[in-house]
Amino acid sequence: MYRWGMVIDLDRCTGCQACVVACRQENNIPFGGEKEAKLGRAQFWMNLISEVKGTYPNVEMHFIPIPCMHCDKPPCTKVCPVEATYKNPEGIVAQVYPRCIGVRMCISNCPYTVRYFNWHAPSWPEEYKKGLNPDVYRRRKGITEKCNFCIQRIRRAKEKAKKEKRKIRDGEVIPACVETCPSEALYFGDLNDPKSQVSRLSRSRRAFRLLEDLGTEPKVSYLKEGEWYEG
Amino acid sequence: MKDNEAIAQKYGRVLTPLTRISRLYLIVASLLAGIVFWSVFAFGYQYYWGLGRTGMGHPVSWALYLVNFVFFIGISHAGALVSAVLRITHARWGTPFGRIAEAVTVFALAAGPTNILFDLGRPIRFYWVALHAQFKSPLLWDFTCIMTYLVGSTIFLYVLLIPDIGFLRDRFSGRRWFYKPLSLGWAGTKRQWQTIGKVIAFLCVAVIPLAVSVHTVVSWVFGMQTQPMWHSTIFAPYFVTVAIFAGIATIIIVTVIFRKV
Repeated sequence: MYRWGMVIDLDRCTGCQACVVACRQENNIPFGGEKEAKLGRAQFWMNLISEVKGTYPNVEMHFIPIPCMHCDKPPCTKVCPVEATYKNPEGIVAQVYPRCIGVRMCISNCPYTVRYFNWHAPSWPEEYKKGLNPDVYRRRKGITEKCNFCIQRIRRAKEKAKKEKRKIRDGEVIPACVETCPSEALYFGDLNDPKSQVSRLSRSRRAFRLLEDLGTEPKVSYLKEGEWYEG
Repeated sequence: MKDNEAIAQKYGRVLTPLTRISRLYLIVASLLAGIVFWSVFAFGYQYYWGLGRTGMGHPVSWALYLVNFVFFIGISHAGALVSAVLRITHARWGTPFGRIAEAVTVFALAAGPTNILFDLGRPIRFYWVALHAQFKSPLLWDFTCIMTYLVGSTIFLYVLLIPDIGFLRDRFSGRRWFYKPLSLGWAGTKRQWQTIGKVIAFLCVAVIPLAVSVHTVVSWVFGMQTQPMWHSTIFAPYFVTVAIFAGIATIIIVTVIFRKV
């Protein structure tokens, strides 16, 4: 059984937001626009948060990409009254779009605020519509959506591996954000495989997880900035 | 039937609105009907265009609907609870308030959860909460408690109304078709009074834990959120006490209006 996880090297992240764009393209995330974003309705399955430290001339920029943490003990799945969201056996916190009735309790229960609600029917510019990914369900209005580690890619890789009667190799399947990262700051793989790059990096001394004290046990780990050795 | 006529004379003021419609009633009713039709239109608009039309966003995902919901649930508390407590303690002075309190409970409970329906992304699928129940969710228990309380307080109101319906059945022979099935063959015999007394005593005791459960569940739905300032256990006692105050205040206001009219 796989246990998918991600590692994000904050030292390598340049804050280019390519992951945000790639995710948007892969997962058919509708454009909100400035007005909607001001109301807090912007949808970023992969979000990049930046922080500016210090004043000119000693300015430091810090970036932190925030996908869904895919917690091992997710607080969001427990509160759904209709079981529209659940942790699948491979550890991905998935959303069943047709089942969702739009209670939005999972959204207010997510400590990382990575769940997004479709306040309107999704819309795209006319010229963009041809580029929509046919593999991904286009969500309708009134349901919640979230990052699912590009589950459509994982499924395809699993089918292929099954046909060839083997397990998925390390690095064979990666989500759109990992694939596109120009500085190779993102890693994706099987945490159950002790030899995979992700599980080695997530055990390194630089690794930490967001809001660890909540006991959610996220499967996305970050590598600290500024420490130039790997454990 | 002579006795009946004497009672009719005595309660003439209560009985006249059942046969005659005053102008004030028409004005108030049309005003309220206007509001209802406007809300139906607004709900249709929101249903068609999406929940975004309400102006809610991410940090403010509970707006007027949830406020309305909590308000109505709050005032519904006092109704059945106050009336039940007054009956259990045999406070004779409280009997006239009982009917008003129970009516307030039932109508507030009918109004409150409707707001939740408006707040859903796909309101047409609200019954999935019962069909595809997920027992860990506080919202399922919220739904269960409110529905139990609604059914319980409706039965409570209805059982207390049976003697009066029986009286009305005898009074208005033209409306027998309506009152007769509702009165369940009430004749006012001693044995019937004993039975209804037992049923009322049981319902009084049953309604109190129901009322408390509704308010603790509603408050813990809020308290369970991992939102700053909301993540607290104090909400349950807070909601219950506040609901008692708010409910009693509502009963006083409604009583004052009834006395004027």
